[in-house]
Amino acid sequence: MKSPNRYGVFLCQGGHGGQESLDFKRLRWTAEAQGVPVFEVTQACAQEGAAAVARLTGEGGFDSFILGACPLAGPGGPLAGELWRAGLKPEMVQHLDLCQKPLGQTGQCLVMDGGALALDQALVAQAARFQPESREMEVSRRVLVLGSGLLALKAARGLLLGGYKVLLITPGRRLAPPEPLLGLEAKLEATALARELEAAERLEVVSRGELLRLAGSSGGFTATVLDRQRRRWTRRAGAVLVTQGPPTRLNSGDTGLEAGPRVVSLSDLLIWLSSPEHFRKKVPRQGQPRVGLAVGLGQEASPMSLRAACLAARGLVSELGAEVTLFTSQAKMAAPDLEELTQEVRGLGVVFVKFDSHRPQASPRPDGVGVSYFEEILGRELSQDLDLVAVDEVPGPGQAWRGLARVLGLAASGDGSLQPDQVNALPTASARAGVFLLGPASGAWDLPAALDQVGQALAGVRALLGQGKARVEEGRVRVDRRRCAICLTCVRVCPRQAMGRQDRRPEANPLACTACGTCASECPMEAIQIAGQDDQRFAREIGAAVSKSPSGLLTAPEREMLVFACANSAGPALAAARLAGRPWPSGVRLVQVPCAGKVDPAYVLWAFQQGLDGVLVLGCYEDACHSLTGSTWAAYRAGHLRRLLTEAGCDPRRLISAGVAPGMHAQVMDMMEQARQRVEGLGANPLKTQARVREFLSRFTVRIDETYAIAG
Amino acid sequence: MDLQDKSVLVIGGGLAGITASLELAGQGVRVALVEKDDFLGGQAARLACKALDTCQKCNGCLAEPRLAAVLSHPGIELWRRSRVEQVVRNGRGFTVRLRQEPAYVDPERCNGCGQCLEVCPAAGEGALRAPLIPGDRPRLAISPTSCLYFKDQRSTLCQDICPEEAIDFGQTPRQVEIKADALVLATGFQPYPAATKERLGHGRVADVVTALELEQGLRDHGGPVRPSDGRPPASVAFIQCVGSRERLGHNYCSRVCCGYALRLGRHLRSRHGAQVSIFYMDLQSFGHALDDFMAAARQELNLIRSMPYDVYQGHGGQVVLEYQAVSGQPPVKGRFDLVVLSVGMAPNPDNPQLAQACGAGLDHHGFLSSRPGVFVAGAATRPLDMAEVVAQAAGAAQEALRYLEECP
Repeated sequence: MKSPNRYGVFLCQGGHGGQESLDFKRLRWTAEAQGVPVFEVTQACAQEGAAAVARLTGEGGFDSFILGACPLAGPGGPLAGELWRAGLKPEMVQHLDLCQKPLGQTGQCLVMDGGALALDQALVAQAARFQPESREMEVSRRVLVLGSGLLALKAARGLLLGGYKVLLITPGRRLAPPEPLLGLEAKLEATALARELEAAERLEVVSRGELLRLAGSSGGFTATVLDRQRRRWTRRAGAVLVTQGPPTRLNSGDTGLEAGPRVVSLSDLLIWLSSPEHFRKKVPRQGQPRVGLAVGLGQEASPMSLRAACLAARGLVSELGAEVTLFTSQAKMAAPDLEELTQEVRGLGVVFVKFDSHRPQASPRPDGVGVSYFEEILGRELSQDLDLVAVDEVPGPGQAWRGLARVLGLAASGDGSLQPDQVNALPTASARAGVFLLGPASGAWDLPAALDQVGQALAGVRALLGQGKARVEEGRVRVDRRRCAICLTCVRVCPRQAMGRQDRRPEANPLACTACGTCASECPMEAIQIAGQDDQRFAREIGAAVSKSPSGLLTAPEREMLVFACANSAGPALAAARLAGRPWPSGVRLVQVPCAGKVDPAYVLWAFQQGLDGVLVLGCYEDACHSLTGSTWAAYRAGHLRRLLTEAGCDPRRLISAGVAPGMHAQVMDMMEQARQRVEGLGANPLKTQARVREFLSRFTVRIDETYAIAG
Repeated sequence: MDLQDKSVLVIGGGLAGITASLELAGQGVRVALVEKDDFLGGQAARLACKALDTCQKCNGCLAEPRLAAVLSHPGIELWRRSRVEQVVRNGRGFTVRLRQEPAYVDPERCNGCGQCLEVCPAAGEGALRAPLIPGDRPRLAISPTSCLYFKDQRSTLCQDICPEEAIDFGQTPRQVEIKADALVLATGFQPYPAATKERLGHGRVADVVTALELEQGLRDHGGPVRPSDGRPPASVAFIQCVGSRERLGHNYCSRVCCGYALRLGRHLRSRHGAQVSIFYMDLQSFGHALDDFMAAARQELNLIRSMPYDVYQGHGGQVVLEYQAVSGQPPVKGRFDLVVLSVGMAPNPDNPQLAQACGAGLDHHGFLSSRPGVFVAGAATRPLDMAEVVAQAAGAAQEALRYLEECP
């Protein structure tokens, strides 16, 4: 551990004579009461003031400072430049918003209501500030690639060029198997790549292999592989790239197009079309063959299917002189040059029949398929007799695919994707750090998009494994071995699967951990602490947020509430709202957390016990959470806490949780104001006056203030 | 071979440019990021959150954290208000001449107090602009196209009132030469200029807006407003494929418009109580769990497979759309408080010039493609959604890194 940091406080006194006011003196006393040196500056928002701050920062012999000032002096203001110029890091000065409504009124600043409390909180946070020491961590430079098609080969080639070793596990016997839906050019490219890679030195191919187990976490996975000779062996790997997709079934919906001799998949049709003789053998008929192509009549299709259907139609018409009808619901054109391709095949005489609310009905026979349907534009019933119908494919249920998902520690969703349906995971990240999902493994992407994902995954591997050594921060997550009961809750709740086991005990892999704090909040033994964000710090910060003086003597009693704001969403939104001149609602105190998942239920109960009248938890929307599941945990805990509050006789509406996006600066202050008004309407927190309620709740609250500081 | 000695010039400060810059700078490459606008962020930083009670995965929030990271990254040099004037290729490297327009506001001095905004007579026309995200500088920028000083050389109200003396109309453009080992072109797309479709009423009928204008309004004001009276609309119509899928013109699907229109429609309905109709040709695919999404959208929205052929101002302040509902029957007149045009993604008009200057590839639509030493990132390559831009730009940066590593 480094020695505790020495820090001081700058207080901006605005333009003129601000230091005479009682509120300003209170700020001063707050810092001095904690033995923290205070420096007064004039107009930190202006260049002269900022230069003075930078000068003092440089000569003070301090590790860091808090600058209590208005939002104008914060990020984007003149201070950062002045600090750079003085050769100092901008992080040295933490900005703290302390102004009531200074905007447009430079020089007439007023201290924010509750400013002294906010400064007290900031001092607590500053005392707990964590200065990480980084170290180098050995990581494996081998990458496991699952798949054998174009994506797998592209990825393998990129990895080999980047100097990595590649272990390629292919489901089939050979590389570059037929991928008819991707078209001829993809096939040629894949074949050429397979030939190029044959002689590659650092490539190991396990054909018809199976991944049995993937232990460990990013940078140091241990893969157990079963090969063709039914031998089991293990390899270490730093990352895993999944390029294969789930099995498929016909997308027939309820049209009656069940697979049979004359109802086939588009892939099969494209393989038949590789030679006209082959097709004629499959569909023996004198004269012009009549073929139907069905796309997106069951589930929503992907543009890949329409492209494949157009390619098939072109082959059918130009090589076999066939009469082709393409049945579709919504024509999925969202792929490069597909609009032009459909125009071309329409020009060749292919008829498009589009359905909005209706669907065709098919009756397959051994020698053909009868199709009848309501043509929506003409407004009448039609029927056609076809020799063959080819249907597009959608991901279907598959035991093997779910098995692979289990081995990878991921969940397969209804559409076959292994990816959490999450903004921050798109398009290649998975719920397990170090496992990347490409193309069909993550969704129904068209080929150019899937090829882009190869590039992104290569970037991800490079960022993760570098040249075999990764820089990581030491000691961010600490597990107290005396408390830990090895229940492994932390291993289960970690959204990135960063928690592993070392000598049977849980330990976080610093390469995968984002220090969101979900594990610390869920640990039933309170054995986990996040350095710089530990329970003791938050307990003190919450305590500092409550006014100590008896309120209501001179003015009407004011309600006080606490906002836990996620640093990824609510934090930036609030900062932007302040810069846009929105005032901070009175009686509302802010505690910034790294993720809503860090808000321990004990924090909320502690806040109520301290006498706060309401608690608002502002996190990301659930499917936009930067640590994937933090907001989900926050929502779950809010439900639990409301039940507990009800039981204790405290109105559950005092706890409010809401989702915010970082760009919602226009709404976030209104959300806070609404919450404040609701709490206002509920009156004073009964815990303030009723010892019985307080006692009841305390049974559920761990004394977070005293006991659980970080050891050392 | 050492990446620390290499430098890359990234042209375009939108989502693709900042993603590529972060990838490159993350590997130790020195990056110069050139943006023609006053501020970073491009189109991506203007999008609004379209959440219902739950997130709809519009990906509108992908730009913010990346922008904040770029602004505080010591390895990324920012050139705002700058355009590339000349590119000279020497061997494997480039010398690029930039022209930087003056800011007229000293970013070191301006603290964003906003007193200039209060006195500016042309503030309503956008003579003073604030950055798209906090932390970008300067906190207010003067736009010479709307500022009165550049018309009469006399209106100096802002300069007179500025307590920090941060405004200086005497600033002049400057030219700099930057050497780079590779270029990344991330010039993005141009929203289809809706006014060219005269029949659809943009610029002619007050309450016809583009979806991007609607999004920016949602972001800035927290709710939708009708331009004519500033009131929230009770009924909204979206018209799809404006500037997309045209045989003569942009003969491609812009990929993103169905996704954003359906999400905006559901957002307006659930958060702001509006009745929403969407006029479309074919609804395109996007995102996971699409069937569930579409089922919900069909329930909440009025989806009409027809393209309105005329838009005009009706009585009572509403906008009238004429369309053919069923073939062979008389046309229908729909009345709406607000009409939103789902404009597509057009190639940046600078592309042909840029392709020629830098040696990048140019396809028949006008989009760019990479060549050795010149890497194209994001929607400059083809229409892409936000997540795809991030993936594509990361991949383009990866190609650039490989090129740099091969350099002697």
